[in-house]
Amino acid sequence: MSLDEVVRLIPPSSREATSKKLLDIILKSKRTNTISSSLAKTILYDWQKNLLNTEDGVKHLLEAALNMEPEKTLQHFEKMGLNEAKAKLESLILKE
Amino acid sequence: MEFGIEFVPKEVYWKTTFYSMQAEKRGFDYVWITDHFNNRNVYVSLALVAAYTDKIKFGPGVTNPYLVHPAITAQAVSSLNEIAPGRVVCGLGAGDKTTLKMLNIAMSKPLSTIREAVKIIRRLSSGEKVTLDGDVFKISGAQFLFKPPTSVPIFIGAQGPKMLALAAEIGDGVLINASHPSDVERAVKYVREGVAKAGKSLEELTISAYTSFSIADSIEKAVKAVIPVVAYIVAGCPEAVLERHGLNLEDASRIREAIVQADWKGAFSKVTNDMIEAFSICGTPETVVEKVSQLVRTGVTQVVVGSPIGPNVRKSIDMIAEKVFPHFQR
Repeated sequence: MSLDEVVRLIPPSSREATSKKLLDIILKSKRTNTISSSLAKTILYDWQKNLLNTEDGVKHLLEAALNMEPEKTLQHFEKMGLNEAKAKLESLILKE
Repeated sequence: MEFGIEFVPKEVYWKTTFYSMQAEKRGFDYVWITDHFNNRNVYVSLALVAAYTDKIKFGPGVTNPYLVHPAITAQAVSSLNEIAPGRVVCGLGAGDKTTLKMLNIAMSKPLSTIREAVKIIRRLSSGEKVTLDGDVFKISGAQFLFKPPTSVPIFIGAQGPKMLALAAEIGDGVLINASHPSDVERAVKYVREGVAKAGKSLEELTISAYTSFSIADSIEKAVKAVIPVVAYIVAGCPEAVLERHGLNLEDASRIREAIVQADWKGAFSKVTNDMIEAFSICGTPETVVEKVSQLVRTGVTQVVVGSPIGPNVRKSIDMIAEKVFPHFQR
């Protein structure tokens, strides 16, 4: 199971809302040292090219959000009723 | 009518860059990034804005010639102007006394310092060779070894009558450091005098109100976000300005003392609604539209949305674009 597969479990209709929520988690987080400069620049590139609502864009945001605020990220998935995706994320976290 | 937005690089670089890109996407005209030695470097932040945006104008808002020699400021804005030709502006002011004091730098001869700094920045960034035997700066035949693409418009940050008049006389724009319409109206009067003295027309000048701004879907959320900023404004505010707004000098003094003692909770708890009214544009979109309209009636041509912007910066930028911009001709 990879983040790509988790993102595919998010219905396209929920992708934009998920993208916005993940952005808020990332932008509000104080744990900025937990995101690599390379990933931050990838997200800026996605933003520049309007790709944040695509599968790749959401994947990059999800990776950042999981690094910075894993609990809040999981809570969001639960709140959105994305239980399968949440369970997969939890197993990914446990593996790490 | 133009809208600018201010970011303080106290946040990591990618957040400032993200918000700047959002501001461009949502129709803001200018990004201003503050320059304080204890935050991230302004030009590093601006270089990223230059690289990740395509049309928005941007610049330091504001740098000061006490801490950064005007030749270095000219070099920095000219270098940025190579990355983003024609989009760079230079905000210049006398600086922030509190920050300068930490470095034991006195804010001496502010009018002469700004006047001479503007000459140096303007001429160097236009590719000229500069010699100046000023009261403050002495320069002998300084010139860049590269050709700057275009000259950079200089906006001068000002609050007092003399600096406002000088800003109007020698600047391409004025950044009036005030949020309340009566303060801005008073400032515009001095700007008009400066323009008349210089034989310029008012249309040659961008007159900006550089405000403290907080917008949210509820007044409570907007107020909560703006309180720390207003506390600092009150703490550094001249008594005459406090009295003009009918604010209690003792309350202001208590806030100042609490800030000096790093008692943030104490300082913020003493901020009153009258202080918020005097020193910020704060509220729901309806309130903000009304307050910005009052500013526009004073003659300003740009409103700068300054810190804190709102409790959630991303949402507040969207809210301004969707619920405030449509009320103004742009």
